[in-house]
Amino acid sequence: MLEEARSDLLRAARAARRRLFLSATADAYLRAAPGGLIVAAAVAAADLRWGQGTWVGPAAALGIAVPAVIALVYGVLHLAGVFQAATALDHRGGLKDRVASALEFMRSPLPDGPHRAQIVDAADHARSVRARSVIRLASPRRAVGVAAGCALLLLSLLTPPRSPEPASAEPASTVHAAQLEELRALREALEMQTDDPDETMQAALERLKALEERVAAGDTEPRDALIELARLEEALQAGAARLGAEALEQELDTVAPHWMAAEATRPAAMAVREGDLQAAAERMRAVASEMREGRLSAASAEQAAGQMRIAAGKIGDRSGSRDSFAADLQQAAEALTQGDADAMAQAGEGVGEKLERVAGARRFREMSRRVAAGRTAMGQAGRRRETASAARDGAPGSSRDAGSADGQGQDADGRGDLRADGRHGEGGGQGGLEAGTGAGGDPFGDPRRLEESLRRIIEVAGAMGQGPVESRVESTEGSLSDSEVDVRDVVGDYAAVAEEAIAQEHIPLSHRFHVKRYFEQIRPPG
Amino acid sequence: MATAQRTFEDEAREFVGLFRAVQAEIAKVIVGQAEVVEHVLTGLFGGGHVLLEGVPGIGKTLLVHTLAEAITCRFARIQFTPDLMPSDIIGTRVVSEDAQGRKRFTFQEGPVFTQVLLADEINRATPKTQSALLEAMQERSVTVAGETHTLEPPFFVIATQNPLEMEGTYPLPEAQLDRFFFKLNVGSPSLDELLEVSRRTTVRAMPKAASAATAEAVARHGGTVRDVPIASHVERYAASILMSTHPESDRATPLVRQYVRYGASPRGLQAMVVGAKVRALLDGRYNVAEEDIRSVAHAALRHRLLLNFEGEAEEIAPDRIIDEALQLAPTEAA
Repeated sequence: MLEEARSDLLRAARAARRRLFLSATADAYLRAAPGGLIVAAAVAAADLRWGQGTWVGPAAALGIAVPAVIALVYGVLHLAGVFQAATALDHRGGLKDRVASALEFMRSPLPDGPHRAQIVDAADHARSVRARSVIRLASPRRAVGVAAGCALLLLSLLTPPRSPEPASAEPASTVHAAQLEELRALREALEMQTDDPDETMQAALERLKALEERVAAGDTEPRDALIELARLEEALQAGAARLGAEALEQELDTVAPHWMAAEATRPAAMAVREGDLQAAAERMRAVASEMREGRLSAASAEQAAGQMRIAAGKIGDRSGSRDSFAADLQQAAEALTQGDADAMAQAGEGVGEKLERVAGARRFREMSRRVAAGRTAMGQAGRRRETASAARDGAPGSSRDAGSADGQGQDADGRGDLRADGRHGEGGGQGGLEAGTGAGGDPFGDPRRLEESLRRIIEVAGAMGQGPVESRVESTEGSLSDSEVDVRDVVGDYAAVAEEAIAQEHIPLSHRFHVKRYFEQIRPPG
Repeated sequence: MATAQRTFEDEAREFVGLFRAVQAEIAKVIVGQAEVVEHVLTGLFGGGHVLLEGVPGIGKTLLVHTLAEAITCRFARIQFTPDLMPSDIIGTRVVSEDAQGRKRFTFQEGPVFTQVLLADEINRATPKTQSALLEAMQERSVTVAGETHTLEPPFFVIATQNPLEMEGTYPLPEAQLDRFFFKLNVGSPSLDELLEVSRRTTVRAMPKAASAATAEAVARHGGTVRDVPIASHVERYAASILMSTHPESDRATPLVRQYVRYGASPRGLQAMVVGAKVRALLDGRYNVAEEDIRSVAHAALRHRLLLNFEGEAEEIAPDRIIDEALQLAPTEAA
């Protein structure tokens, strides 16, 4: 009977011990699980929203498993001994220290009467108590947290992915590639065009190469690349201005016809017409050699001298100015008249040097124009598709749409000027009276755009055969123009006056552009 | 082996029956005060003495008298006064003459030679007289002129003192208070109890307790009580409660540190354990539980706490200190 009592007491204590372990583990899980589930839900939601959704499963599994492991570890660490389990059974089962006392009394191999009575009594009471009934698992209230965590985890699975970019927007990689392509084309065009040893030109080319490398490496944002191109453009324009060839170029329009009129200087004039100013300079230097070698006839020399005097007279008295052909032409006329080859050589050298300066300035301007065109192309590559589409249609878009990709604001007149390529103005100015103060952008735009726009206007004006056509043929005897001034002179004079007016008056940038482009368009070739 | 087990269980059952019978007989006379009666009987079977504190007229004397009747013991009462001498308690040698006319000293027993003694208002006697009784209580014998006279079992002393009238009294020294097994506070009866007292005591036939036990049975079951085993963790619990009443102990509670000069003595632990054994048997158990310790802690410890000046000045009740000690005592119950 005593042995049976011992066995029952030990069984009861062990059952209580197991129950305590389960209770502690369950309690720890109910405490830890809500946190784990919430974290799992957050990870799953984030992954579904911004990721690929590959972490949803592992996050859910970890959210459930990690609290379980923590609970198990907690349960093991807090595993009660048999005696502690017995006291817990006594306390929760109302056994009043019977089992715990009996376990102690059982250590004696031969307990006396009172101890035996106590052991048997404790066993009787322990049999009447079930550990499962008295040692309950954690409060159901804590299970609410787990249920809430599970619900949150399930709800997180419904997280929609992030909205895709608007269909009209090109992927960033495409824009980047397009801009890079534009930049590369610009660099190759400039490399092919120029072999100028000028430091400014070479430095500009190096800057362009460096910019291309940075863009290719992704170290430079498209906006920064546009700004860098604008600076490069300014540097090239400054290089052209540094040569001080603007006045010389205007004078060349006056001088070239007279060179054309004289046999001795006609090759140089032909070279000027063809735009090969370097060759023109060589031809002018060669006049002195011909003169020295006797290959220049007196009539030709006199003819050339006369024309040069006229040209010098048209230019005016700007003797002593480094930026004028007048002194050289005057000196050349005197040398030709007097047959002084040395003086002619000196004058020819002076003219040649000035022609080379004009040639250099033209190269700078051409590079600047190409850079501006490249920058425009880069900006357009990054523009929104719908804006580009509207511009291609030639519609007079709103001023809001007229801004360039680099976001430099409205057009001056707020209407958007039509570009030759059908796009709205890309000018980087701030518009209005302060136009042209912006750091970037092409204040003049593409010089060919009026050609294109003119062509388009003509195209949309109507088709042949539509509507009444009235024609009339008048036959007159005709007469030559009574004007004795060459159109090139007129153009040159008025262009110079217009430039001067533009420089002095406060004229909006877009209007300046039209004036300047007007004279460029009517300038006769050569 | 089975016989021994039955014997203890039989003794335990007999003890419980005896206890309840005496309790029932007392209840015939004493209205209410059930806890006091139970603690008095616990002290009786635990082999100790009990100090009752309460205002006059609430049945203290009647309780003792009734108890004596219920256990069939001789009863004596000593009214302590300032002029009471030790010899008035324990007795004295007197010259007596025998039949042959020879004179000799013979010992004249005092009232202490009884089985149940009521020391009424014990704090009104001088310390010298008090100590004479207390020595008899401790030794359960009296020595006069070199002769030791053993007191008749169960020699159970119930002392009373009035908590209100402190003028002209001699408060019991701590060492003497320690001799009491329990100190019980006797409260005033409730309205219903008063009405019952009135009904019982204002008629011709006064209730009277019948004999429910004998002195021998009481003495024998004192042994039964002490046979009840107690587990070490319960003993440790009782000891930790006792230790927490010592201000210098690590286990001392905040109130003890502030208001107690000396904590309870080891006799307090003995009283708690023995009293708890009685309670265990009464509860039908053969082991002492922490609950038993808690149920007797106040009675066993309240007179053993010596308050400091601050505690006395603020009239801190020892029961409050014991409550805190019980609350903070470490228990094995998980």
